[in-house]
Amino acid sequence: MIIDFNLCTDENGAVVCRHCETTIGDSRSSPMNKALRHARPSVDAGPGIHADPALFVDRGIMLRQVSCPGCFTLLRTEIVPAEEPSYREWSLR
Amino acid sequence: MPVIPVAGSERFAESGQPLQTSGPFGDVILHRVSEDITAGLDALTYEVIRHRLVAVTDDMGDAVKRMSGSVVVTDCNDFGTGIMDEAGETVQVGLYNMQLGSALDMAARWTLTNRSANPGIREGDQFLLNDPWVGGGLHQNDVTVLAPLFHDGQLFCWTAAVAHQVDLGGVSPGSWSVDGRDVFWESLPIPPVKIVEEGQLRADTEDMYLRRSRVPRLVGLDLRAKIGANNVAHDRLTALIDTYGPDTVKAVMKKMMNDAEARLKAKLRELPDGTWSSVAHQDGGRSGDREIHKIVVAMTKDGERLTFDFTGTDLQVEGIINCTYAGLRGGILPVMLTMLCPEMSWSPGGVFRCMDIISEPGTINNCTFPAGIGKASVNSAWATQNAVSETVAEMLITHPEFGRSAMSVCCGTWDLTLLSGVDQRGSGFATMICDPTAGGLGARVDNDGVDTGGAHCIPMGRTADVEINEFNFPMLYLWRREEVDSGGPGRWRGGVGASSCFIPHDSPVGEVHLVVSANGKAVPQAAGLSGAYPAATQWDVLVRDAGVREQFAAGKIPRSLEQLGGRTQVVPPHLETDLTPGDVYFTHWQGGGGIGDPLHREPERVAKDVGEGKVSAHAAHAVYGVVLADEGRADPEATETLRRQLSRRRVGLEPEQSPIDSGARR
Repeated sequence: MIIDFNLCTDENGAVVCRHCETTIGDSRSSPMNKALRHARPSVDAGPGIHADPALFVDRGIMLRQVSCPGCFTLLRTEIVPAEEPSYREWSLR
Repeated sequence: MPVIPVAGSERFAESGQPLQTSGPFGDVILHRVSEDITAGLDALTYEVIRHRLVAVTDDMGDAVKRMSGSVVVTDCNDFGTGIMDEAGETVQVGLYNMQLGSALDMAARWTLTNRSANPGIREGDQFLLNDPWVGGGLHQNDVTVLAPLFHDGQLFCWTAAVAHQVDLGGVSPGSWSVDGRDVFWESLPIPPVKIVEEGQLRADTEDMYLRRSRVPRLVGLDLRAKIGANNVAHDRLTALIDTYGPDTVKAVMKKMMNDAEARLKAKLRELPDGTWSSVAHQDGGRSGDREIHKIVVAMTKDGERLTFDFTGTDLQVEGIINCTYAGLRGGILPVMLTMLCPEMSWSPGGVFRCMDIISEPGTINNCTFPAGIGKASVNSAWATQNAVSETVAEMLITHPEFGRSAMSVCCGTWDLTLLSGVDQRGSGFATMICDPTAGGLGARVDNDGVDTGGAHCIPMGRTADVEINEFNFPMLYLWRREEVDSGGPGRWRGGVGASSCFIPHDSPVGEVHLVVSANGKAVPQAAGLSGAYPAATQWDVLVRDAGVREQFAAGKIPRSLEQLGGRTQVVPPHLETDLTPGDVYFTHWQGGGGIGDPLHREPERVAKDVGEGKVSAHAAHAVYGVVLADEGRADPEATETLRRQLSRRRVGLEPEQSPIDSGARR
């Protein structure tokens, strides 16, 4: 079953990378537990970040990325307050 | 000072739940139709009348545009129209601002429940409201005129026209009071009042309404435009009833909602059960606020139902960005209609039957009176739309066919620029500049987002020509143009946004008042999907004492901020100030989010983007990993090497390190 641009499930219910078939998650209810996670300051996201967030807010803002451990394809990119958990999750039954 | 709760205000808080049609509703008798008649409609009659009802909402829009004198309405289509059945369920909304069609049912139900006994609801009456706790629009500028249609003494249905009014009082021109702490800083909401009584415009009610505005003649014209739109609708509907009979027309209305419900449920059954969660951030709840305020949503799809659970959303803030329950619905319905229901009747009455909403009153997108809501529509309602858009799109992408309707988050907010003062004809004016209607649309699973394609919630949204703005208001554009790197990088790129740069011009008093309100300057708001980057942050710049007029005198037109000279100030999310004749204002609104890893985008497509000014050479290298040769074409070998390096760097590895966790590879 296709999950999104990068992910699908295999016959055992594991979530795998569509590009390299690396296992990303053990099950559809825990779909990204083997993904790589890395965070950097938001200004590393490129020229789309026009100004230092410190001009506007007191909280640190981070670029957080989740990647396939096999081919390093980006699975999720978000720019969020540093201390916040990631609210962008999904699970299938 | 903390917001002071107001005793008794809860009676204005419409729940959004269907009406208990048993009444009583004063002496109003509801026209009802049996389910047998609805079930027995022949297909041809159904389709003829259904299309006629859709056309009625279009006709209403035409009527509003023809009679209004506001550029916001005539040139930008910031209004909505709708038809509701006798119980207020929305049968059809027009293709204009769908946020404004999201709570018309609430307004009709509240009016029927609270106004039928006193002052009564009778043939030829129309009601005006701008109380978002009741329903109708999402903030006080959205004024609804609601008209019951009677047939043979029975309340047959309702029609409504709602449009953004450019000023309805409050501390600041335009009613966007960026220093506001609660609703008492803003234009005070008007619960439904009888504005037309048995066909006659009530002078006392009109005076009460217009007295609050800085531009009463313009608002008065819009009032007549909305009344006229309802009259047009009633003429058309009466003709339909005369031709087909009231029961048949009503049966079509019911079937339209039933069909929307049935078709949406059938679609949902084909999608996997699961939960998709997201978040939307807004930096700054009012002038001087340096906090970030979040809306959290977990959308669960179970069988043929969707549940939007906003548990975890921040409490309402002392500021102007909260929205009421009407705003929360306004954040959901446009996404539902465009992504999930593109091939169905846009009958919100049926769509709402397929979903549950869990939200705590007192939170930022379900606030209680007297929280400030002056910017509700384009703050917490729009942010709700962003978060909901992500969850619905992710669900749809699991399906090979339905996924083609999915779209990443579109332009993350409305970059409010409001001008007021004395225009070139010596008259007072106040208006928002609607250029940000040309936001970038989100990427799709098989294509880039549409550059400056619009706003998700206004399918028929437009921007006024720069000449129209210059003709109507004391301003002169230096440019309005699409902006490089404003679309979210991805395998499919988000549509680019744009910028406008202008000077005050030809006002007899010289200066022009400026109100700016736009979030997304610290945290991007148009997120990408499947690993893509969000669209660029909002960016507004004020240049004081620029040398523009001297350059004009020398035959030059500045084409960049650097060429303007003067003192540059990066504008915070909320600001109120004056523009003097030597100043320049630059506003850069957002594009759409991307889809997929930008390192997977074909190098030649990136090179084309660079050539067309959609992507900079810097972003092509640093984000897309594309090395451009001298002639502007992508260098395949160098690109492959660079992409390998970038992909390692993104996970925190040095380029020379070996791939990790190779054991996980199959």
